[in-house]
Amino acid sequence: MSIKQLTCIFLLLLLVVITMIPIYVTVMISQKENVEIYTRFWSLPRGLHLEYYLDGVKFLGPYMLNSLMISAVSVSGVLFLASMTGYAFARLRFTGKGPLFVMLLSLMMIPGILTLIPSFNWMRTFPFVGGNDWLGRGGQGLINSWFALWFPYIAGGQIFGIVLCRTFFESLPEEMFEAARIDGAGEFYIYRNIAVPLSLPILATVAIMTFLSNYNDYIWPLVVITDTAKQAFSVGVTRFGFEGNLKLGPVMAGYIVGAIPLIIVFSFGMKYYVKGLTSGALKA
Amino acid sequence: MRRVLFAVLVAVTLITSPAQAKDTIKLACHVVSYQPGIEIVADEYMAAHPDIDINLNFIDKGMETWLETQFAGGEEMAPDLYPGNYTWKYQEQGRWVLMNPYFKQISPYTGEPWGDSFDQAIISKFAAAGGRNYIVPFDFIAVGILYNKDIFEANGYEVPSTWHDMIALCEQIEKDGYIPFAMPGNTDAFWNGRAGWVVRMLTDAYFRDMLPMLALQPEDANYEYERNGTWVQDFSDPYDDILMTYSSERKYNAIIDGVLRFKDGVLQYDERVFTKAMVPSLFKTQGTLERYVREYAADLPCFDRQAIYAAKLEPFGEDTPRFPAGVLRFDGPRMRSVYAHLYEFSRYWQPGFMGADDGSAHNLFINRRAVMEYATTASVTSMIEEMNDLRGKKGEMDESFEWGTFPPPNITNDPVCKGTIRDTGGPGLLLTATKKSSKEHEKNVMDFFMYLTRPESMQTIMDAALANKRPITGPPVIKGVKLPADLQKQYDTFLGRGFEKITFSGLDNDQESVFEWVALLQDFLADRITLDEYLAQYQRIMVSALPRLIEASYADLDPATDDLARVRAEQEAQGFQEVKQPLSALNGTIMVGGLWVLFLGFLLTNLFLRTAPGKPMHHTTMAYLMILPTFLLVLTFSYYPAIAGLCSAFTHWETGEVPQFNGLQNFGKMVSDRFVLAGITNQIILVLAAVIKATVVPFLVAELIVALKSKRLQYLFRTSFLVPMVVPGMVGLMLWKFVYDPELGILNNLLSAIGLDGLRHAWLGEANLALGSIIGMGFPWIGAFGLLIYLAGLMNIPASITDAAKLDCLNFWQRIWHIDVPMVKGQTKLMVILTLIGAVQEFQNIYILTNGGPGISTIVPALRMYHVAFRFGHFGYGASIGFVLFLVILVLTIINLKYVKSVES
Repeated sequence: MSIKQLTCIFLLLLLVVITMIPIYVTVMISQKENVEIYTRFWSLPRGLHLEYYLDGVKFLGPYMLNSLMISAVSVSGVLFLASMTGYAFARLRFTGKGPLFVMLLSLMMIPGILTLIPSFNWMRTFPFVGGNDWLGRGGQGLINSWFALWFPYIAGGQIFGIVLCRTFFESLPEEMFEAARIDGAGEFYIYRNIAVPLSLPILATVAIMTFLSNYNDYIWPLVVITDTAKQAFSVGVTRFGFEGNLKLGPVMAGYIVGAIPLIIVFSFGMKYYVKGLTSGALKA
Repeated sequence: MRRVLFAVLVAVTLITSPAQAKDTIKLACHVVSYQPGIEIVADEYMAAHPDIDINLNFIDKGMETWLETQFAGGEEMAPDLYPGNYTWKYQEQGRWVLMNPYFKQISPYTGEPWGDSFDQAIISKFAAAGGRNYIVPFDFIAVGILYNKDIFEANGYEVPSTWHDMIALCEQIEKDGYIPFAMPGNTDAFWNGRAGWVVRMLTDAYFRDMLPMLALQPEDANYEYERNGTWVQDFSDPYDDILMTYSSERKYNAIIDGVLRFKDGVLQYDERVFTKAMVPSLFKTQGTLERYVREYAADLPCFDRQAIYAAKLEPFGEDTPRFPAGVLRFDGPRMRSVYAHLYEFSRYWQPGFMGADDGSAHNLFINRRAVMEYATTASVTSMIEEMNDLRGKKGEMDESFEWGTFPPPNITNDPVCKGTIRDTGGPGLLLTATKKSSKEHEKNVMDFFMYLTRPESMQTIMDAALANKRPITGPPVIKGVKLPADLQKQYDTFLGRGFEKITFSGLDNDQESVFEWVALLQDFLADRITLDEYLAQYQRIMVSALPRLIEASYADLDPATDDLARVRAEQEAQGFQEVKQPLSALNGTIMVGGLWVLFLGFLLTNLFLRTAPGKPMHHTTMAYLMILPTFLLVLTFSYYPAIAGLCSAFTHWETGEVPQFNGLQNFGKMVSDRFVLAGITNQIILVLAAVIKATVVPFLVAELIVALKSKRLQYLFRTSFLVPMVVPGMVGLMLWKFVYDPELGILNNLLSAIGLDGLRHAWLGEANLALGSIIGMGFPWIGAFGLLIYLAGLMNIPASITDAAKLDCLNFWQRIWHIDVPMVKGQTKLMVILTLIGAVQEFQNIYILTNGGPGISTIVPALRMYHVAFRFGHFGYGASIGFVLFLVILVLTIINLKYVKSVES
C-alpha cells in the first residue's frame, strides 16, 4: 500500500475515533454512579449497573411503543406525499410551479418558537373533533390525541422530503418517462410503477430522516399530549432517572435503550440510506 | 395491512374522544424528586374521591414553554396547581386564587385552620403586597457554606465568624495551594442561582436600614397595626422585620426621587441616567403623573400629561445634591460597598467561575480541589449520598471526606452596613392555584390542595423521596413532618438566620432588568468595566425597569391607594380570562377555510381562465391533483400557525393579556435593543462558521474516502461516520461541558499535560473565547448528511474528467480545486442553503452551554427571541424578532439560489 493510502487511512481512523467518543461516553456514563461521573468522567466505571438497562426497558418500553406508532404513521404519510408531490414538481410542467415550490420552501424558514402557541391553539380548537363544534368550541380538539402529532409531523416533515425527491426524480433520464407516455401510460401510473420503484433508496433516506426527527422531538409532544399513557419516548425518558436532579447513569441507560429502535431501523435501512444519498447526485 | 391501520386509527379516535364525567384536577410540578410521593398521595385521594381525577405532570425540562402554551390554550388546558414562580406576571393579572380566606378555613384533614399547617414565618415571607398570599411553599431552601473538614483540620483552619475573617481565610487557603471557594458563576447562576443569591444576601444587609423609610405608614393602604404599628427595627434580631410590610410604591418613589426633581417649575433629571427623550417614559401611567403634579408642580396649570411634557426639562444642576437622604440610588455608597465586597470575595472563587454551572462547581468540592462551596440545603441529601459512594466498596480506595456547614458570616468592619447576613433562600417546591370560572371546581381543587399539604401527605412525599434516593431540596415548611435525625441536624445548621427583606439584583420580578444586570455584573467581575462604570450603568438599568414594573403592577405610586385591590375587583368580576392570541377573533376554522378557498381559487383560475399563450401546460390538471393533498395539509397545519405567529409581530402582546395591534412599534424597539444588535455580529460569525463546518469538512472527508482504493474500506468508513446519528443531542452537550470545564475539563488537562499551562482557559467563561468555544463544539463536525451527498457528488464525476486531469499533470490539491470543487457546486449550494436556514434559527446549544453569557458575548437574536417571549413574556416583541429572522433567511436563500445560478449560466 502506498504512503498516500496509509495517510488517508490514518487520518480517517483518527476522525472516526473522535467521532465515536460521544458513543463511548454515553455507554460509560450509563454504568456510573453520579460521583464517579464527577470524579472520573473519562475512565471506566467501577462497577456494573446492568439493572439500569432492565429498569430502562421496563419503564420506557410503553413510551417506545408509543413513539414507534407515532413515527410509523407520520413516516408513511411523509413518504406518500413527498414522493407524489416531488414527482409532480420534478417531471410535470404546470402553471405556477415556481411560486408554489417557493411557498413550500419558505415554511422551512419560520422559527419553530414562533408557531408553537398558535399551533397549540389550533389543535385545541380543531373543528368537529374532541367535543368541538364546527367553530372549534366546547372541547379539547385534537389535544391529547396522536392526530395532534401526526398531522403537523406529516405537514412539516414532507417539505424536506419533497425537496429531496424532486432533485432525485429530476436526475432520472427523461427518455424513460417519454417512452412510457408514448405507450399511453397516465402520469399517476408512471409515478406509481416507474418513479417510485426506482426511488426506493431516496425514500429510505426520507424515511430515516423523518423518523429521527419525530423520534427526538421533545417540546411538541410535551405540550399536546397530556396523558402519560400516550406520551412519546423523548418526554418519557426525562421522567426516567430524572435528569437535572442528578442520577445520570439511568438516564443514559434510558437513552441507550431508546436508541434500540433507531439502531434497528438503521441496520435495515442504512444500506438504502447511503444509496439514496449517494446515487441521486442531490443538489440544489 | 390497511385494515389494521384503519382499526388502529378508529381505536385511537375512540380513546381520544372525551368522556368528561369526572372533575379533573391538573397538577404540574418541576421538582421530580417529589414525584413518587405526590403520585401516592394523588392515588389515595382519588380512591377516596371517585368523582375526582387527578392529572399529574412532572416536567423537568421546558416548564416555562409548557406553561405558556397551556395557558394560551384556555381555561380547560391551564393547570390548576403549578409552580407560580415561572409566571410571576400572572399574580398581578389576577390569575391566582387568593389563599388568605382558605388559610382561615378549617381544613377537613387537620381539624384546624389550614394556614396553621405551615411555618408562619415562611408564609409571611412569601406574602405579596398587602399581606396577600398566593404562594403555598412546601419546603425551604436555605443557603450555607459547605466546607471540607479534613482539609480544615489538617491545615488548622478555623470556621470564620466575620466576613473579614472569611476573606483572610480564603487568602491563606489560596497560599496553601487550594481553591478557596467553588462557585457557579455562569449566566444562569447569576440569573436565578447561587451567585445571584450572594448579591441578594449582601444587599439585604446593606439596605436593611432603609426599611423604616419604606415601611407602610398609618395613612397607607393595607396598613395593619399588628404588622407595622408595633415594629421597631432591631438589627440584633434577624427576624425583627418578618411580619412588617413595606410598600413597593414607596420604594419606586424613592428611586424616582433620586433621578428627577421639580424645582421652580422646571423638571430636572439626572443626565447620567436619562437622555431628555427618556424622561416621559416614567410618566407612562396617569397615576405617576398625578402624584408628581400634586407633590412637586402644584403651580402647573392642569393635571395632564401634556403639561408635564411641556414643563421645561433640564439636567441636574451642579448644586443638586446627588444623594440626598431618603432616595434610593444604585450608584450610591451602599451599592459601592456591596459590589466592592462581592468583587473581593469573587477573587477567591475558582478561576473561570463564569464558565461554571452548579455541577462544575460541585465537582471541585467533591474532588477536594476546592475547600468550600457556596451551597444550599438542596446539596445535603446528595452530599450524604455522594460520600457513601466515594467511600467505595470493600477493597476500593476511600475517597470520602468529613464535611460540615457554616452560615455566611456578617460584615462587621463597614459602618455603611447596618444589617446582618441573612438567608436568601426560597422554596424548592411552591404551588399556586389557578383561578377558573367554576366555583365548584375551585372548591375541589382547594380540597385536594389541603389534602396534599396535610402533614401525613407531606410525610409521604418526603419518605418516598428518601426511599427512592432522590434529593430533597430543603426542610419541609409543613409542620409535624419528621425527617431522619441526622438529616434534620444538617438542616438545622442552615436555619435561624432570618430572611432577606429588601434585596436587589434586577428590580423586583422584572426579568428583563435581571438579565441586563447579569450581563453587566459579569463584565464588571471580569474586569472589563470599572466599579464606577458598573454602578453608573446599573443605576440606568434599574431606573429603566421602573416604567415596566409600574405598568405591570398597575401602581399609581400613591401608597394611600390600594391599586391592586381595584384591579383585582375588576378581575374578580370578569372571572377566568382567556390568554388571548392574535387572530383569535378570527376563528381557526374560518381562517383555514379562507386559505383553502384562496388556494383552490388560484388553482381553478389557472385551469379555466388562464390559457397560457403558446405552449399549453398540458400537465397542469394532473399536477394539481398530485400536489393537492400536500398543499391542503400544509395550509392547514403549517401556514395557518405560521401566519398567526408572524402577525403577532405587529402587536403589543404581553403574556396573559389581549394582544393589541401596534403597527411597527416592535420593530422600532428592536433597532435600539442592544442585545439584538450585539447578537447580530455573533450570529454572522456563527453562520459563517456553520457553513464552513457543513461544507469544507464533509467535503474533505469525502475526498479522503474517495481516495481509498479498497471499496471495502470505503464502505466501512462511510458507515462509521453515520453511527453517531443515533446519539441523543443531550449527550453531546454534556460531553462538551466536560471538555470545556475550567478545572476538570479534558481540554485544559490536555494542555497542562503537554506543558502548555499558559493556554489554559475558562473556555465558556471568558468573553473573548466563549463564542469560539461554541463554534468548536461538535469537532470534528462530520455531518452524516453532508458527507454522503459530497461522496455522491465526487463518485459521480465522470472518469473521463479524472483521466483528463491526470493527463494535465494536476497534483492532488490542484485537482481538488480545479475539478472537484466545481463539480460539486450543486451539492455545496444545497448544503449552504440548508445550513443557513438551520443556523439562523439555532439557539438550543447556546441556551444550554452559556445562555448568552458571559456578559453578552454569546447572545444571538434567536436566543434573545426566546428570552423575550418565554422568560419576559413579551410575545409580540419576541415574534417581531422571529419575523426578522424569517425575512433574513428568506433573503439569504434567494440570493444564494440566484447568485449561484447566475455563476453557472
